[in-house]
This record gives sequence, structure tokens and C-alpha cells, in this order.
Amino acid sequence: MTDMKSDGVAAPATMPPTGRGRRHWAAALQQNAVYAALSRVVLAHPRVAAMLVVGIPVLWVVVWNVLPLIGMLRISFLDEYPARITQGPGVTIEHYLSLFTELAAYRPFLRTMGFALAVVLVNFIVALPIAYFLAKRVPRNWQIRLLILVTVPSWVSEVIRAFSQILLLASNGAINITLQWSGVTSKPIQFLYNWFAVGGGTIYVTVLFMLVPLYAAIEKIPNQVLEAASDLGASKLQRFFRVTLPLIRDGIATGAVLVFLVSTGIYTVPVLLSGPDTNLFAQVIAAQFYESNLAWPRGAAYSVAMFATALLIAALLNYLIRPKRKFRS
Amino acid sequence: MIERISRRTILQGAAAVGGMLAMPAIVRGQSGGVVNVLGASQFFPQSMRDRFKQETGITVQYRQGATDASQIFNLLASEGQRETDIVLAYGHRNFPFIAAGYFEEIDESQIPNLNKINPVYLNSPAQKVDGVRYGIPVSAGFMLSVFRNSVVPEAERDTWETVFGDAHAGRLTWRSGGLLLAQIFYHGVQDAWFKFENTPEGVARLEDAFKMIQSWVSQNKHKIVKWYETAAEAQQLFYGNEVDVSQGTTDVVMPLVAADPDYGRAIPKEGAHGFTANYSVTTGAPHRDDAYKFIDFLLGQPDTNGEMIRSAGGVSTMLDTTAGLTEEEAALYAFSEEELSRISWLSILSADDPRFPLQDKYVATLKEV
Repeated sequence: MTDMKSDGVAAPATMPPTGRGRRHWAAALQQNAVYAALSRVVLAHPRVAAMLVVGIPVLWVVVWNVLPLIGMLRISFLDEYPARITQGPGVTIEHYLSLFTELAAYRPFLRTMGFALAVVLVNFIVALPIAYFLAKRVPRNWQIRLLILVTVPSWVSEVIRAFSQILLLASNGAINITLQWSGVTSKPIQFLYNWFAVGGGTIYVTVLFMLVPLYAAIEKIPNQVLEAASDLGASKLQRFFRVTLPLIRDGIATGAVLVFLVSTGIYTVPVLLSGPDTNLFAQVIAAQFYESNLAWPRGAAYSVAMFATALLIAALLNYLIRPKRKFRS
Repeated sequence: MIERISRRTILQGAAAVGGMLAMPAIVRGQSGGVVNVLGASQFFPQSMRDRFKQETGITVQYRQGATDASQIFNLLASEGQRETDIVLAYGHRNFPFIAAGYFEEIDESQIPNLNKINPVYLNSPAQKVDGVRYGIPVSAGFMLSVFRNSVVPEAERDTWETVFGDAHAGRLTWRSGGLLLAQIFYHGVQDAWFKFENTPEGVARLEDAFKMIQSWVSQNKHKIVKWYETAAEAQQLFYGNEVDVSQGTTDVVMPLVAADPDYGRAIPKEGAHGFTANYSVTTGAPHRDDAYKFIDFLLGQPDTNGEMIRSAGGVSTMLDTTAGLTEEEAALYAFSEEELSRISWLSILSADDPRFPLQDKYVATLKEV
């Protein structure tokens, strides 16, 4: 029985048998010749080990994320896809230009960018008190439990969550029934299929992306810092704006970027909850693929344009919000 | 006590796993025993696939193509070593497949049961391009209006005015995909499409009609609660009591009507467009002969017709339209001759027919005008 140490020298296995007298599975693995040979190579050659550690995730990202994007980029410059067998595809930038010339493209594009920025702002306002409460008011041993509780809605798919909003907000949904039953209203209020529904649905889906970074940032602020500010005469508002807020800018930047990127590409929520004037750009892109007789090149061009613009704005948000570090320790 | 895992055991296990993973390819490689099908499930009923396997020993390997886009994606993904034998595509959505060279000319001699299809559908130009048949019509669908019987008076039910007028503003939903073709009947400009001539004047006339409709939609879209895209969305809007009236194709409308007697449907008197769902055989299909056998088998089974109508909500293209249906079902899915005479069937004039690309261009803009 041999075990391999980091210097590549064989050592006796130290895995004890379990209480039921069974040999531990790890011990069995260590005795395997293939595993032992692989371990020997990896441990004896740190570069190989580093390449494996870095290479596998990089390969994963390249195959599943980068290659599809390259494929999409290629299609976005074709004049026809699928190309006819008898005449190969031509190359064009017309699909990109249409984003600037066609009302049906640039209006929802601009609307989506504005909407995503608004969602970031509202998310921040909604998530900040919750994150602060969790980080500073809840006993430490309850914080993780409550955080897990907050994530419960995200255990089900976006479609189910959007449908659950319909059940709540529909004309014969829970809120309208309650309002009418209690005599507050005499007929249903139109909660669905407007900005209220789309905005609410999007915030419901994205709020965790803001909440968790904010919680992590607030949790890191030592209580003594806040107490010192208080001792020096700072009011609650002054403490918030001059101590807490500057110290959580990293968290705000992370949350803002995440929420913005998710909001620009959100699809299910507007499909299910949007009205006649609240279409988002993801719906326009989907329409190119499904409704417009397979206009894939145009859909691909719009996807690439949205992706690039969203990244640019996210980088700008990050630059503006994240604190500038003049000195590095 | 766990036995030590020997190298031999690992090698044997790896060989077994490898064998299992390779099995689909091995099975696929055996031509003659398999047919690979791509399309909406309701047109290839499970019971028919099982019966076909029992009678012929040929296995039908079925992949669901939720939309035409995903179907073509699958075809493209397997380009070069194409795996699909039969595809189901709707009406003019056949066109990209045919234009891309993915469908072969149907070999009618291999389908003796072709004579069970009503010649009205079989000989319509909807499955043909430049006179060549690329599809076999197995079900027909069309645009309808759907409404609550308790809300819409009987006298108002068979006109597009109910769907597009002011009477039900705020309680309407429209589907952008089929709106242009419903609107050309509402505005009485359907000749621009159905008597279309592929000349600059013909194209300009059709474009003028679409521009007029675009302008009308711009001024009237406040009447709708929501644009819907899928049958499930429309049904949700009705069940949730958000709307009373809509336009939709048979796959949207018939499940509603079948579910609740308060929902009614009509082919409006101004007219509506119709289309067929077709079986097509792919170019270079790896199991071509078995594909034709399966198509012929499906056409020869009365139950296919019944199951298809029940699940897809269309109209039978068979000579015996009630085959496989109960009396109640036959009554529910029956449309009178007078109603059916209001339908104008979509067709493709030639490989460079400009109408559908033009329609798609305007459909894409409707929600934003």
C-alpha cells in the first residue's frame, strides 16, 4: 500500500478503516495504479498540475461560452442563414446598421438599457435595508439561515416565478380578490401587462444578485467603526452616507453590474408580464429567431450588439461606483 | 466488506459504459430498422409509433421540434451526417427548408395511402414549389376569432370587427405573428396577397397594404391588454379573465373551445388564411425507404387522424374527416362547408416568392409602431 506525497515519494497509506470495518473509498482509490501514476506525474511536475487546474475551467468556458459567441458573431455578418445550398452566404453589416435605422429595433434597445438601469436603482433601494438588517441586526448564527430563506424563491425556475406573479396580480388573482372582498375596490385593478408588472417581476428575479454582494460588504464593516462615528457625534444619516455607503461601494458595484447584465437579457418575465408598450429587446431578438421566418443573422447581430453594449455600460457602472484605490498595501 | 477495486474491474466498467454510450450510434448505423423523426409530437402519435414498431419491427426515434427554428437548427447541427428522415413543418415555414435544400421531392409512388388525402389539400399549391411536391398535408389549420359566448352577442361573432373594433377594447389580445394576414381580410385588401403577382407593381401593392395595416395598428394597439406569442399565454389570458376576445390559429383556439363551452370560435365572414402541416422527407435521408413506409403507415391508420385533430386542433385533410373521432369530438371539430369556404389557403408561388419575407419584415415592427 502506497500513498504519494507532494514530493512524489511513496508513503504508506494512512486512511483508517471506517467504523463498520470497511476500507475507506479514498484508500481504495489511492491503491489504484492509474490514479497513482497520474498523481505521480501531476505532483512531480507543478506546471502540469497548474495547467490542469487552470486548463479545465478555461476549456469549459471556451467550449460553452466563447465558441457559441463566436458562432453568433459569424452568423451576424451573413446575409442569409441557413444559406441556400445553391448559393453560398454573402457578408453584410446591414443587420448592425438596422439597429440604428429601424424604429422597431432601436426603440426597444434604448428602452431596455433604461429599464435595466432603473432596475439596478430600485434593486439597490429594496435590497439595502434587507442586507443591512441581515448583516447588522440578526444574530450571527441566524444570518446564514435567513440568507438561505431569502434564496428560496430562486430554487424554482424563472418561468414558475413569473407565473406566480400572474396568480398574484391577475384580475382574478389574490390581490384583486382581496381588494374587492374587503370593499376597497369595486372592480379589478389592472396590475398586469404594464411597467409595474415587468419591473416588479424583474426585481423579484434579480434582487438576490444585489442582496448577496451588499450583505457581504456590510457584514465586513467592523461594528467599532460605526460606533466610533456615533461617538464622534454622527447622526444615523451621516453614519450611513459618510461611513457605511463609502465602505460598501465594492458590494454596490458588484451588485449593480450583475443586476444590470441580467436585466438587459431578461426574457421570460417580459414575455409573460409585459403589455403592448413594454416590450424589451430580448423579445425583439427572440422574434428574429422564431417569428420572422428564421431571421437568424439579424437576431445574431442584435444579440452581439446588446451583449457589447451591456458589457460597456456594466464596465462604466463598475468604474463609477467602485472606489478608486490610490494606494495598494 | 468492500472488495478492492481491481484494474480489471475498472477496465470492464469503462468498456461497459463506453458500449452504452456508443449504442445510439450503433443503432443509428443499422439502416432499415430505424426512422428518425423531427416535429411536434401531436403529428406523430406515440400509439402510432408503437403500432408501427409492432407491425414492421422498425423503431421510430422521435425528437420534439418545439419550433421551426429549432428544427432547422437540429438539421444544421447534423449537417454532413444528417440523422433526420422525416420533418414536420407548417405551411409557409416549409419555405426555408426547401430553399436550403433540406427536403427532397416526394416520391409519391412509395405512398399508396396518398389517395386517402382529400384532393383539395393534396393538390393545393401549398406543398409545392415550382410545381414540385415537397410535403404531404396531414392536417390543416387556419386563423380564427375566439371569444366568450357570454360576452359577445351572437350577431357580432362572425366578423373581424369583434376582434379589431372598439366594442371590446381593453379586453383584447392579438398575436403579432398572424395579425397582418388577419388584418388584410379585415381591411378588405386580401387580393394584394392572394392574387399577388411577382412583379414590382405586385410587391408595391402588397407593401402599401402592410404599411396601411402598420399605421392602423399604431393607432389601435391601445385596445389590447397584451401581445401574446404562445398558445399557453393566450389560454392563460382567457382563464385569468384578462381578455374576452382574440385572434388565433387553430392550435390556440381549439383547446380553449374544447375546454369550456363558454368559449366560441368563428371563421369571420370577411375571410381568413389557412395553412397545412406537412410531412417532408429530408434530402439524403439515411433511412429513406423506412421513412416512406412510416408516412404511408400513418396515413393508413384512422386513429392517426383522430389523435392529430384532438391534440393539434386542426382540420382533417383526409377524405374521411371524422376517422378516429367520437361523435362529440367530430361535432366539436367540424366546420361547415360555408365556413371552410371563407378560407384562403397559403401557397408558395416560386422559390423567390417575396411575400413571406415582406410579411416577416412588417411583423417584426408591429409591436413597436
